[in-house]
Amino acid sequence: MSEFLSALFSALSLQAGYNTSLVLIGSAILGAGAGAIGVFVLLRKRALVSDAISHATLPGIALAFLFGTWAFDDGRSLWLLLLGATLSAGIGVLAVEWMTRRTRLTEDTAIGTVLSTFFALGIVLLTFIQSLNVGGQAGLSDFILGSTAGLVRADAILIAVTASLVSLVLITRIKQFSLLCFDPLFAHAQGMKVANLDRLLLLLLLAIVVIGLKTVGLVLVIALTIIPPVAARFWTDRVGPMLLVSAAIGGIGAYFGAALSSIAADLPTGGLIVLTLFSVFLISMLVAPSRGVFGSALKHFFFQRTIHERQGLLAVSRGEPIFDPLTRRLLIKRGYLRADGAPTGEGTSAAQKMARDQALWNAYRRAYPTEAMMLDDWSLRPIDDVLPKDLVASLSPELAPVSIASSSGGVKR
Amino acid sequence: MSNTALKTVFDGSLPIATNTDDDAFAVSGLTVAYDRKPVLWDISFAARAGVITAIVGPNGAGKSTLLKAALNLIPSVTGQTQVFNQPLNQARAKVAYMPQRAAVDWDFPASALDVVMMGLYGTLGFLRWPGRKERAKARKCLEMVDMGAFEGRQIGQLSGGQQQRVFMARALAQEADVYLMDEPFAGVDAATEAIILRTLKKLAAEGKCVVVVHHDLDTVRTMFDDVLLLNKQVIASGPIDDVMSDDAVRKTYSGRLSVHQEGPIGGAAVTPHF
Repeated sequence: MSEFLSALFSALSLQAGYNTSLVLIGSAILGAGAGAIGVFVLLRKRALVSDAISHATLPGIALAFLFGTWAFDDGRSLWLLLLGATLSAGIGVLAVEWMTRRTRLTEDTAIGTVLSTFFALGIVLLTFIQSLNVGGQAGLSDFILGSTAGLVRADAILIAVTASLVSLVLITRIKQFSLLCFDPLFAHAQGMKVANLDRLLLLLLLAIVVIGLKTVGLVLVIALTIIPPVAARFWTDRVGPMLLVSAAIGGIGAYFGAALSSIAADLPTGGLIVLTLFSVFLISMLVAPSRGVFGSALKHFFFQRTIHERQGLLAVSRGEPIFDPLTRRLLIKRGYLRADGAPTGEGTSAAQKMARDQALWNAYRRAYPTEAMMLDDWSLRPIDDVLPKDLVASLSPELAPVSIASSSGGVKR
Repeated sequence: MSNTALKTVFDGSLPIATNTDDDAFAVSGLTVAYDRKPVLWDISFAARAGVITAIVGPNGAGKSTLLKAALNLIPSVTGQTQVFNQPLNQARAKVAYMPQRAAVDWDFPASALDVVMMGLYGTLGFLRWPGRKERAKARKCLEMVDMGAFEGRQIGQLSGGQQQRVFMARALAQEADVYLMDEPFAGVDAATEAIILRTLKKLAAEGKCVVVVHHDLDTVRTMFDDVLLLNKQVIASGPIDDVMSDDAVRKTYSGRLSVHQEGPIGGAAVTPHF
């Protein structure tokens, strides 16, 4: 075990040899680029397209291998294989776009059709190649499940440079892509070429998928563009930070997974990278402060206390005794109640304020029932913090008699 | 209204305003078809600067489609749009378009201020990132709709009326000459309705052209200056007093209800003063 850990550590700290280090760095840059482009693919709600792209690469890889074997007596050049992958994935994307536009098929149906057909063709071609008994064909199966084993320096550089270029183009278009994803109609009305932007997004995605094929494999490369942004969304509510977090998660996941596979060479790199990404996703889902599971549970805990405090103070304002032990304990702790359950001066004034707030909220609910329903637990906060002041003011006249009744009649009852 | 530049042509008994030289926003011969079924037929219509024009008609009359097709956001079979006598493509920067609130996913990771700044992207250079100046401007627009306190909140955590105000602020940030608003008053609270109407009136008073898709027949008279009655084709258009006759309204909603007997249209009662 300690041997494994020290090997992992030396790989992670880039001391496991020149080639391994290059592959790790290349993978990290690839993961970061995939994580970044994935944000917009996810926000544009086109996550499945990357699955179509990756599966559509297989016939191109097989044909490029056949072409290389026939023309140069060697089909293993990564450049050539990726060129073939790009061409056939491009045809796949065009087929999806054409079917969606020209027929009544929805995009997911078109994707399913194209994905399975291209993959079927690829598998048939691969089986055919295996029967040919030519050199180098063993490496082809790496494209399905991913492996860093065969990667040489030039390959790692190709991957790193392409992923960096994709990221660069992406950074220069953050504004346009954000607008495209949030409000395409508005973007179009402003004179942006929405169709071209969509195509550019697909092109960048295509480039990332194609260069990720060798490392992650075409079955799993979709995870590289989907898991990081989904995990990042747990941490932030803004596009810019989401891009950074997603790129970081993708980069770290790919780096760590590739390091693992460099010391356990018989395990598929793609699977290791995706499992690493999944653990980041799991951690994000659990512990992210605002949207995570624990964060939500914590919020629920405070939410319950807010309800107890609010209901307790409203009871005080109506002059009612408080029986619920938690409510009582909370109000005593806040100094609103004396130990014997009688309200303190502070408690009485807090109760009056709360009664006013509640009356305003009730008036708001009466006036705008549907609006109020959309507010969820916001209505447990002071109304002035939640609604614009002109709106609160418009509620007040309706409220006037109620607020007098509750502030003067509270203790009497 | 006789001293305005608006020419009114009488087709039978209903007035239809046609393009004149100083119309701010003019659509001519616009026809839109989905799957060979015409949704808009030969629409010619012009809106003046300095007033608010409402587009009114029953559900499915093509009100939103008219705005989208006029802006080339959806394909049309025929038709041209002119903005201050320039073809649309040369004048897009002069037009602010506000889609329906329901058209976007409000879970999108953006704050209220982020959305308003999207209105400035058009004027920002290709590679320029919004800076302090843009922030200040976007903030001012949020304050104009009384949303200054909410600039940092994620847009999904705003109420429907507040989301509509954010959209209004984004349109303001565009500093356009023509404002095309799709259902700005749909499903909002009274305070939001008031502030949006006030903002639109202010824009009109500044000489802007404001066109609003509206669903509530009851409030048309009190809120707007001009009206386009639409039901797949132009039924009547021009100043409200000339256009909103019983006859015209009945013709617009014909086949859907008999105005005085059935009453409500989209939740609003048609009062007999038309």
